Amino acid sequence: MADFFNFLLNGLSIGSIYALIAVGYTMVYGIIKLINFAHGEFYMFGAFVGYTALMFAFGVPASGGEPGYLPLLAAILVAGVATAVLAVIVERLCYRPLRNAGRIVALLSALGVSLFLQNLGQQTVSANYRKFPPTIADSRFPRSEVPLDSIQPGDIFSRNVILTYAVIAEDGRPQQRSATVALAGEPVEAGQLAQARALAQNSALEAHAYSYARVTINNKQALIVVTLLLVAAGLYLLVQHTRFGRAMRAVSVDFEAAQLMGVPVDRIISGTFFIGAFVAGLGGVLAGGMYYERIDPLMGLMPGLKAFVAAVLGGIGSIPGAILGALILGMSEKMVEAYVSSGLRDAFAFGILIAVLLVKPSGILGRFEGEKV
Amino acid sequence: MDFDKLLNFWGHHLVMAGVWIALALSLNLINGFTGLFSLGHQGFWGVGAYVTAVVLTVLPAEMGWADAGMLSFLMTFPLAMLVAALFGLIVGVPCLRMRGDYLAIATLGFGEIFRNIAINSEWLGTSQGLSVPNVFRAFLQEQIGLERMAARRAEMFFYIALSWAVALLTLLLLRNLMRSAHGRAITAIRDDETAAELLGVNLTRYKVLVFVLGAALAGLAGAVYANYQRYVSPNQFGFMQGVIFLVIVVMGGMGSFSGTILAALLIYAVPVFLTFAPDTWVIPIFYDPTQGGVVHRSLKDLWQVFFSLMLIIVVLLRPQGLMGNREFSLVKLWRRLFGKKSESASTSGEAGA
Repeated sequence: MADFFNFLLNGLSIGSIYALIAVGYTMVYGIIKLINFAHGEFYMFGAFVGYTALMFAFGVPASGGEPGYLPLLAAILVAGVATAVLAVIVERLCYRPLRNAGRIVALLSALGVSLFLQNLGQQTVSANYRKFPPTIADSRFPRSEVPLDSIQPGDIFSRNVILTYAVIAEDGRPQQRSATVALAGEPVEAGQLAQARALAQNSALEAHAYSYARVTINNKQALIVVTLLLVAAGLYLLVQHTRFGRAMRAVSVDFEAAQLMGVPVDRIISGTFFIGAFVAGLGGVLAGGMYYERIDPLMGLMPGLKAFVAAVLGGIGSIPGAILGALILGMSEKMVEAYVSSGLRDAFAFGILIAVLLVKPSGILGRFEGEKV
Repeated sequence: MDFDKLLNFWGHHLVMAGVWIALALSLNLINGFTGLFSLGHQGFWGVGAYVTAVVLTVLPAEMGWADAGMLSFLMTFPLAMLVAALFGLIVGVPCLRMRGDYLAIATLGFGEIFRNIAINSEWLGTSQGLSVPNVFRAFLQEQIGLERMAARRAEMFFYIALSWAVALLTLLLLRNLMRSAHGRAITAIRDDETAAELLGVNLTRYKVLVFVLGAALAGLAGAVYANYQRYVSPNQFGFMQGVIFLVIVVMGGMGSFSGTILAALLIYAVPVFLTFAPDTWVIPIFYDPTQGGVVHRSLKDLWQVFFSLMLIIVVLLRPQGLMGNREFSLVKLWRRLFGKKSESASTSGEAGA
């Protein structure tokens, strides 16, 4: 049972990553009925800007220890703003001229932008994976510290006791490792304890032994979920309680009527792209960078498609729907991975997509829009 | 360069160009002529290729049959068409209720599901893929009694002829279809679905017909490809490959056969010719200290970037594609260049429309 809840929490954090991308998809679709294929590339672009900021501006590789939350926060903001500016430029150059040309033509343009950013990325920063610079130390909660000195051979603990220590990696930076001191319900072996103490002694950073609860959440995953909550609250306030949000809703309901009522439609659409891409860019730093620690120019492809699936599942055009759909998708994907087959995860996600499109194309929270003749 | 090297190099590209033309034409039927937006064409191509591999490799091994012979080889083509058509039907019937961009996403989902299942199925060789025996060459050597070198040459000529024959077959089939009353019904669907329905065009029937026919023709191209390459793997039929065919259709003109053929040849040939560019022709494109300073790329590498940029520019400046829905004809070109004044005036007026 503990496994089940661990998978659920894992799925929640993956779903939150999808949600950070899906809100941008759904906002853009809601306002100009465009599937912005390039949105996954915005996520990728954000991760690379965050990488560049951490590597070159904040001097992360030179510094010895863990950089901590402040540089990460700065990298997130820089990446978010840079991505948002890119999105506004892309909208201005590639989507705005096609606004009256039909949905398929605009979709093709979006596909072109997506391809262009991927290919340009592969030719400039190279197609290889890069390791993202260390951001914050990994840890899991809830836990309680067990002082290493107090442990005696033969002690029995009700939970696993795990030592967290650090070694100096090839690039000269400390790298976090962990080792088991004691297994739950089994007496501590003298040899294992001595080994753990030696590791703690030679650790590059301060070493701690913790006993962990059965159901734990990783601090990075928790940070992603918290970010999603903040984003959701911010978007709610923006859409429901500001002038800009009211204009957005007006354009979404009736583009021409909003224009006739004096809503600056172009500026509202640019603003929508700005916000959606900002969230995707910060998602790129948090998920691709901080959490997976691997970035490459094609990293936006799959999360982008999955986020789109999530947006459709929740009802495309609806922000709460996109978040709900993303969380459901993330958790059910994790369940399929854990209990059915890890390889069939993607097939399952696209199967959901087709099923939703067939049974209820408007999604869980979407509203049906009839065809106007 | 000796003859065999030349044959191997150009022969390969000729075969592949034929396969690309066949695929782009069948995709143009779905996307260009009917206005259904499919992003899953690579999936049907892959189905055809995998059927070939299954018939020639998996089934003989599973069932304990003798090695695949000439009969199995010949059977792969109709079987690949049939199974791909069946998949077209399974995907098409439910998905064709959707409109525009939703259909695009659903067909994309089909392509990815197909690839994902192939990656995870032991039977289909997982991500390693399946190799396909060279039945045709064995036939040439053992039954006809050709020497190894001669058999290799004959095999290459056979595949060039086969792939272009398939491209020609696709072209003739689609051209005749579009010239018939059915073709006009299909055009009507593209131009205005609602109006076409009100005029009595059976939307579902024609959409399914088009989708199944397009899938079957892609499956046939898949069989040619698998037999020629003698290897299939899930990554050959990825989303990006499908996007390339889509770009060909868009650039050539949605609804122009000659435009599609020209665009397919152009997009296939440019990177091939760029491989001849000397290694010293590199362009500094980026500065990156982690890659040791200034990054240089060859023209062939940059083609990918240029290609995607070209898609955006064509869509922005000429959304109907290079040829629109017009056809290229040598006769008209001759008339325009060398015809009498009055005639050339009328044809150029037509072209400007």
